[in-house]
Amino acid sequence: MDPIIAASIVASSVIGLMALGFTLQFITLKVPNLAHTTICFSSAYMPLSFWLFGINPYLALPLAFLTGSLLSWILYKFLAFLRTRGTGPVGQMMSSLAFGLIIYGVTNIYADYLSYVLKAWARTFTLANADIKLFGEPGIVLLAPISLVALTTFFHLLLTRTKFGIAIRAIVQDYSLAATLGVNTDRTLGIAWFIVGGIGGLAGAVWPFWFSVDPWTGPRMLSDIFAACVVGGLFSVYGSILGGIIVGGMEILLLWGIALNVGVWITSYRPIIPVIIAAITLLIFPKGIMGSIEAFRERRK
Amino acid sequence: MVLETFLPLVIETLTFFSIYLICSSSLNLQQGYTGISNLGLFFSISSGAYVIAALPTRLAVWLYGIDMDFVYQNALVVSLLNEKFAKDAFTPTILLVITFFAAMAVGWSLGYAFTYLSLRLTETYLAVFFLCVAEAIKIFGENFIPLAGGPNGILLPNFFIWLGNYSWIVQSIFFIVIPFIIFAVYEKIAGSPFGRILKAIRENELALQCLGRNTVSFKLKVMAFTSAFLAVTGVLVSLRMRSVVAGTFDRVDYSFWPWLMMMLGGAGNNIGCLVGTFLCIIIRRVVYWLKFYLVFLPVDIMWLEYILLGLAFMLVMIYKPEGILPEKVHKLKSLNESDHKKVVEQVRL
Repeated sequence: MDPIIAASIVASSVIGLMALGFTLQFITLKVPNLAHTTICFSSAYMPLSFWLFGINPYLALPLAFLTGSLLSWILYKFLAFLRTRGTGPVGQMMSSLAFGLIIYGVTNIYADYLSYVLKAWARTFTLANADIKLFGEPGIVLLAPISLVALTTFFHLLLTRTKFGIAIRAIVQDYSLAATLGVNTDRTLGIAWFIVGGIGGLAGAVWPFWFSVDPWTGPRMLSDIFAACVVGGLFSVYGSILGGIIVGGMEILLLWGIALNVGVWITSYRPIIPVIIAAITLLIFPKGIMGSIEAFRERRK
Repeated sequence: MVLETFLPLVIETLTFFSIYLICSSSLNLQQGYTGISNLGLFFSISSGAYVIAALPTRLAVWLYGIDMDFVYQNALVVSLLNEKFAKDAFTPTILLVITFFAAMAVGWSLGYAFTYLSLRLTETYLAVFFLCVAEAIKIFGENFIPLAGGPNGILLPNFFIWLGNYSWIVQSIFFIVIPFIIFAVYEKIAGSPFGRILKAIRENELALQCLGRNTVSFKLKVMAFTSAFLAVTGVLVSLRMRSVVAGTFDRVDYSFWPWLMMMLGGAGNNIGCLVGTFLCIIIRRVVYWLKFYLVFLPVDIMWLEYILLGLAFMLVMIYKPEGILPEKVHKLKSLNESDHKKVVEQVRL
């Protein structure tokens, strides 16, 4: 497979999975979790650690899931605590950012430790050489989209076929009413944040199998996730997955197309692309894809 | 001896404090008074830095007829300009004035444009949008070499060199006075009818719209106005460092720290903001000094600053969410009898 196509498949899948978590966290607490991508990419150090100790890095994925889940759950508990004390959305958003800074600091210290003590190349790394081969292709090229489809299906079934999913949807619609009707809002949201945090951790852990990762990758990727959510529709979980696929794919393919015409120097401007996509979307159709579809349906009624 | 040791330290800390005072008080006008969440403060600051990197030195090269490329022969051009500036007070002064006005114009335009673009977003998503835009501008500055020298940055000449031995002290006074003038302007705005409208927008925008006020226009004005002053910060920081490196204008130093300063002091209160800024500067200085004592650790101690910043913010949110000096609630004095009669007469008329 063409490496550009393969890269766009991996990027689309990973950004889609991360955008799913970002949107779900936003619609449940009405607060964007600015630590989401930092948490996701801090898990990327799990497979690296396994590889350094001679263990197959893919075996670290459950641990990466658990890391993402636990960090996400701790953050949820903190934000819920602030909410009960009357802290507004901006205060909660800034607290999530503060939590992200702590994770970022700890990730850097861990990367420094690996670099200085184990003499490993841990400040910027890729695990492309440690990847397995599936049908003659790098494993991640197949595993990333399969994970996206499988986890989206799992999440869809969870939301539509289980009492837990009904409880989440009730909380999203009306938090107070759901609590009045007997839904244990704190536990339900805690579990939801745990699951999407884990999915994000998993997504962050597979990223180094194709792309390079450094401690700043997480905070930097916030632009991609934000653009995905804007393109898909700010309040739609499925829309954000779709937005992730579009943004991830476009970022690679568009850049490749431009680079072929103007030169390789343009690739250093890659992180600007999602911001441009988000700005154009906000100007042309601010409700995003799913929001526009909803509006179209409303008009037809 | 003691004076020689401590005076530079005090002035250095005071300059650092003054520059950050513009950041935190600008944010206070945006978020504390108007309710516009801006996580991308550094887009305005870096725009000011890019102006001083790209404009005055090129103008000086052209004025003095130096046949060299300012970016690619930077060090040589800067040393030549320093020689020229040492003998000429007029040119560097006028260039500096032009730079300040140009930076303010660029800051104003960017603030207006990005706010206009993001008016449809809710407050929290608006903050994320500004953050993404600021990151994009930073990446552009880091890679577009003609603007600010790309990843390596660019050196600037000393615009105060003509003052000779007094250069350092005049510069320091300049760095301290300008932020305090800007702070005074913000304080004046806060107490004016304009400031009260901003607070009304923050409290209930819909109610104000129902009363016929164009809240969007007020928001645009605030963002453009504060962005212009933030661009001045960019110029001051660059003058102080005597260089521009796009990568130094990042979200931690020029967005998150000002947020902590504002939240710690008390959002919606300029004096609180001043107190918060002072405390944060002291924390940062302590961390800076700690670096020299903890060199034996196998990790870079600068990461502790991030952890400390995050922890400090979380502790403020838990124990003092309203800040050290919370916003004052101004109550109208009850009318006395004669005032009451006047009001009744006016109503009858």
